[in-house]
Amino acid sequence: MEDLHNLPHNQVFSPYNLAELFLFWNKFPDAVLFSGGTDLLRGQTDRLFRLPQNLISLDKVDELKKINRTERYLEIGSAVCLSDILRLGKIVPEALVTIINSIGNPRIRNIATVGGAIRSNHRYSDLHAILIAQDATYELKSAADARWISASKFVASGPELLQEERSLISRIRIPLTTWTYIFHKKIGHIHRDDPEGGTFLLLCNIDKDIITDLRMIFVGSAIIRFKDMETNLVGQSIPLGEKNIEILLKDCLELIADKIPDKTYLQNTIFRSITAALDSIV
Amino acid sequence: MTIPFILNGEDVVAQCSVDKRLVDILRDNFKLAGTRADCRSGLCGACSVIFNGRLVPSCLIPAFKVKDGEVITIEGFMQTLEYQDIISGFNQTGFRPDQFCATSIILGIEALLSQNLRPEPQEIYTAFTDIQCRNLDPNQLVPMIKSISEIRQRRLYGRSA
Repeated sequence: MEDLHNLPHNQVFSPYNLAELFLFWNKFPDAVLFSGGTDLLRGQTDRLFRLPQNLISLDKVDELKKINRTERYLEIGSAVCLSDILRLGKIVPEALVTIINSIGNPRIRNIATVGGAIRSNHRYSDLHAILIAQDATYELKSAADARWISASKFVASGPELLQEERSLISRIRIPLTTWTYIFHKKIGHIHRDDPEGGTFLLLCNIDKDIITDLRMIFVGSAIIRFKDMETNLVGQSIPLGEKNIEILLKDCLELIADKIPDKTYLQNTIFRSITAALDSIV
Repeated sequence: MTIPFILNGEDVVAQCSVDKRLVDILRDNFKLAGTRADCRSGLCGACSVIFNGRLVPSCLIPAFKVKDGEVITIEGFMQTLEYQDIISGFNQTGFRPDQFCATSIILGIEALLSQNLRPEPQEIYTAFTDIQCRNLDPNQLVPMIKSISEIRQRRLYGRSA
């Protein structure tokens, strides 16, 4: 890989549509897709960037920059900048706005794209938490066909899936679910790859003092969806009974310890986040 | 690589390798020293420029992305009436940005006001979360932006809100 970066000449292809993009990609299978570049260039502080030999720039592919909205969902092209999503205004679910505002800084959000944030292995990819919780789906497009995959399935398979299928994420479909209560916490050091870092997110709908819907998720070195907690809490009236909460928290602690063994700090931080989130619902 | 682009309203051409950063093109090829290269990771804001209408860290823009684009640096922005509004607002509120942060603060204010002439305090705080200027008191930020916004509204519409 190091040799690949040190080759003297870089080639940059700028396709105008997806057909042209796949044509270049078939000709140069080692080419790397480049849109915002924040993930690829992260941590490079030398005077010159170390770029892969072949790059395919997505800047001119308009198909990847479209935004559509229907009554039920928002459909965003993968090369749309994070700040462009914020500029859509009140149609964007509040939870998504909260998460996007916590990524990088306003300048970086002006170049980072939503597809890049999903594709990234970096822990900054806080978007996974909200997209899984909102039941988002991604369109994976290859030269031959296109298929939709749920966010949770995509994260579980990892970005290697794209490499295997020689496909790219072209669209992201986000259901326009609104939540009455949002609890979001970033864990770990925000300026470096922290193995003990991640994002905890709790989304909750409360109607007439009864919890009607709840999603609780942690995304970091592992993905933990607290499904038992979700099914137990839905239908309960607030304030929640202390005994009941204690039992649920005990189950959560076991689940966390099982999913992230040997990381005591992370285990405790997730547990504290759950406790704080439940306390604040009450 | 030959890179034609618009720099501060003028058509220019830069000869450089594709892996060069925009900040270095501006400083080396065009001697525009108002854009500083400090952290080279998009965090400090000293290299901010307006690229295709967006405020971006020029240290994270490789040369090939600049092709056919439009770049406005602090030197180009200083020639505009919008810059005068910002300076009048600074004078009115007694704010003096230090040299290092001036570029990021001035272009940050412009990026904010060009999108929304009457930003809410929360929007202002969000837009300036990453600016860590020693001279900038967070309590001073909202009145300062409001003052600049009023000056601009007076200039554009002959009255403030």
